[in-house]
Amino acid sequence: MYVQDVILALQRFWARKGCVLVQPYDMEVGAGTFHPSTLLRTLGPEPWRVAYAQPSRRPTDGRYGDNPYRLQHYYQFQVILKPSPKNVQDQFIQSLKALGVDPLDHDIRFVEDDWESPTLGASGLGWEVWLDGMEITQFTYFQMAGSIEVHPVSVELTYGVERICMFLQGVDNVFHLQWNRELTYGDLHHQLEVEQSTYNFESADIDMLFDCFGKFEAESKRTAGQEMVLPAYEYCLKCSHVFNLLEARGAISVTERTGYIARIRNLARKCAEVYIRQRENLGYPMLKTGTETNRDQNEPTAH
Amino acid sequence: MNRLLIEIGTEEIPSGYIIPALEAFRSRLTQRLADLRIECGTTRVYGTPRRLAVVVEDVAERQSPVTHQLMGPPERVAFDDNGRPTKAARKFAEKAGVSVNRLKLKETEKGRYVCITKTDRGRAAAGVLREVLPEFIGAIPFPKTMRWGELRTAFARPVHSIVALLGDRAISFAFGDTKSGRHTFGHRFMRPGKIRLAASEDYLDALADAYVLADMEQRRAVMQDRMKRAVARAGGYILEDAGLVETNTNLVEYPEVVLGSFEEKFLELPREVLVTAMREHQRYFAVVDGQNVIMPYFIAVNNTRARDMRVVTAGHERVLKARLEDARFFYRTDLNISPDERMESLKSVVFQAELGSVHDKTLRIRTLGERLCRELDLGEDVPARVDRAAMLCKTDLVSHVVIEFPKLQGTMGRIYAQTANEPEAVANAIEEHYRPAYSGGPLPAAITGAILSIVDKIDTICGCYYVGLVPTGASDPYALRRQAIGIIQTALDQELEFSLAGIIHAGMEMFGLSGRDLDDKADAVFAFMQSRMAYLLEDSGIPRDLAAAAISASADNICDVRRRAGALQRMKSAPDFDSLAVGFKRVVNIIRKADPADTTDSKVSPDLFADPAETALHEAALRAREGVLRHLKQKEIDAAFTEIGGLKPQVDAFFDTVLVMAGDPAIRKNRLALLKQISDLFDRLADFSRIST
Repeated sequence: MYVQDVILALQRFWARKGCVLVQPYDMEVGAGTFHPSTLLRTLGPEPWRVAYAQPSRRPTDGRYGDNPYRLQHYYQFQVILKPSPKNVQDQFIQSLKALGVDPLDHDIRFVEDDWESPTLGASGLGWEVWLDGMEITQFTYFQMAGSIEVHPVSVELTYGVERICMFLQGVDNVFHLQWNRELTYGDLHHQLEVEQSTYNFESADIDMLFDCFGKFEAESKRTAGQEMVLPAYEYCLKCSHVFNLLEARGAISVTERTGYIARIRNLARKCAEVYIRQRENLGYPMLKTGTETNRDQNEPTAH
Repeated sequence: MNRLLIEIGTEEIPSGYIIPALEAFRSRLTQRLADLRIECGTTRVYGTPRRLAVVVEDVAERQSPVTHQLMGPPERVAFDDNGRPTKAARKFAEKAGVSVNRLKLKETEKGRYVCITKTDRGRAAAGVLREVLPEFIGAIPFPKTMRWGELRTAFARPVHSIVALLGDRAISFAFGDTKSGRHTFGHRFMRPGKIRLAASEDYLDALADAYVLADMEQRRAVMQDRMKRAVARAGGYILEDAGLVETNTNLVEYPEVVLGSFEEKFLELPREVLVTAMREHQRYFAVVDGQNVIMPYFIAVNNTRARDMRVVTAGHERVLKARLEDARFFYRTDLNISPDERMESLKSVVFQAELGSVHDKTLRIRTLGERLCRELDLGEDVPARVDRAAMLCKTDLVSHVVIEFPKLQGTMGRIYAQTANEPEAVANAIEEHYRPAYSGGPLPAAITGAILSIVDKIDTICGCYYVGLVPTGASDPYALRRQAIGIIQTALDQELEFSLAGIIHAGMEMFGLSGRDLDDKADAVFAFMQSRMAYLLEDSGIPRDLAAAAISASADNICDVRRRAGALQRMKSAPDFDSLAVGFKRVVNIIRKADPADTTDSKVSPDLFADPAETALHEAALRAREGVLRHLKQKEIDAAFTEIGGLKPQVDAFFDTVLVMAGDPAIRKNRLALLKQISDLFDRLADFSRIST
């Protein structure tokens, strides 16, 4: 299966399961979780189902395109189901079948992994899913987002697109993956890895980045103060990426690190608080009629 | 009498949660049944990642009947002069729920009272259980719990089914949105779907048919047998790893084992790196040959018997190859940097926010190490090695391999030192200075590592006390208790006789403290060390009061404390110990209670003796003092105690005939001086006032 077919198959599968297919967020993010469709939409009582392929960046993971497994830019296929359906594990396994993975041909296992994003103040319990020993998906029941306890609970499925494709294509080097019939992953992304690794590790202007961090942080606070959630959240994301670049440049010491992470987490918390207030003021428009009374009595709705 | 089965079917529970949860489930259930007066026999537990089950044999049909007496008012209050029940009697009968003519009279010490005997015949066990089980399941303890969907229920992972069977009858209740009944389920892939259980007796067999080995011991045995057979094909042996066996046993419902291999080129990696790469990320077992040398094979435990296990094996091999490629890249990169170069990078690694970098810590350890070597008079070679090892001991923290596998700290330090041709003693000390790594773990094997281990831990403890990170109750985030115990055990093991107060003082000085502040903080650390000594002595079987007596006399020399405590314990088993201790305690207590002006700087003047018992005690004390000092010098503690014990007749005679607190101040002072002389002698061995008699 070509890389683009894997993405298409997952999109088709989850669209059939009732997910809205949104497009990836148009900013640098560390993971699919950073997309407002995950971090913000998992807050509050409104149901939500979404899927998207999110290009994600981890500057410190760059290897100049020399390492067959490590990338500073890669793809996460992200699914959020809120509330988490009772049969979500079965749905996930069906999605693997849609990719041509027959569970009776392999060893599929759910191995404990408690996930946490300290910058987003998000955490959850779940597993890494192993396919013949390879971690292919992060499977998490969100318990917190934006430092706020969530209810109902969302489940987040994060497929590692490259890993799944390497497994399916039987390839030992990510750059040798066929993206489609003609082009490889390397054709599309190798130059990006070389250039961005050089930039991230060697060239990024540290002073400029520190300056940006401060300004982005101030802008996020200012806009959050005016109840503009999405602009405030975008500046929070910008801070996160700038922080990652500074870390790749080795410009942030271990002690300072915790402090910077706490600053970003505070921005995310602020955004989460404003978002929740905003949805409440709007009367939770995505709540189906008739369910509100149930919720007021804290009773589970049928699904 | 029926067999009770309760099974909670879940999504995959973390493997480390399973056994503790089952044990708590079992013991609480047994307790609860007893409280509920439901008689039962033995219990057994079963568990896989997807189910926690407990079976109780011979559960009674009903609660045991119980009769109890309710006491009412006295007869004269309950009945009027005509023997008719009064209002008080009627009220009592009404409250107890019986008619007034069933009231009986009972003779008590205080006279005759109205009483009622009531029998509670008990309810059917099933009815009682359905009421208590939901709450019971919700109370099973886990390290972490979670919520799911729209429910408020919390459990280790989402719950999907509950079986509750008493014999062949289902007990029905609900937990969250799950209703209990008689349906369980088989292996996720090999036999998915519901399984109906006709009776609790069918449980294990029904699951075995559905590719689930619910009995953990059986599953472990099957897994180990399959592992043995698989590894035989490589002509090797499994590298023993009991923890990994447990983890894997509880990661599967049906253990399917494969043997995989990796390229020989990876054998250039140190054994520890190979084993850790296989173990930590992949839970694979390493394979060794008859000489215990690592072979390029591994064992992976799976949960599914796939159509072609070669496909699964190839998958494992590919994953491990990627891991080993990474490890090899890290290891080779590390080898290009000398340990000395790495020392510079320690400046950017924070030890603790207020205590500076790890580089700063290294400098402190070097100073303390040099001081301790000097005090112990260790010649020239050892101090030089300690200093070199102190410089290098933390450098592996910035190596790529340790960043990837933190468990290899110390081990990689040793390996990199060896590669850099450091002396073997230095390399070993780097690895050993972290010991003991866990309670009861091995101690540093040689002197260099022992010295380094002690000063590193002294620095950590002093530093934490300096910034106020003191262990309290269950909270000890820097594991200071374990480190303190490590210091004591290492000193004992290597017979290192040094002044604990001295090294603590030096450790505190490193943080720029002086005067009163320094003394206060050092005293706090010393008291903390004393409490750990007491704990260790008790743990080795020495009664608490004797440990306290030995420590209270002096805790400065760890080895000496141990010797005195041991001698005290042997002396305690002598038949006349208690009477001896009583006399000695009396001496000590008189001195403590006396006016300090009467006991300081006082000399004994034999001309002031008025009683022959005084003279006799004085002479005996002088002789004993000489003997005690001689024995202490030779570290013959038992003999020193015997010498002191020899004073008993004179001490007893003294107290029998002499009044210490005499009216004449000069005589009183002289008698106190004599007792002080004796108590000073005791003080070198033990604080007798701490011994319970």
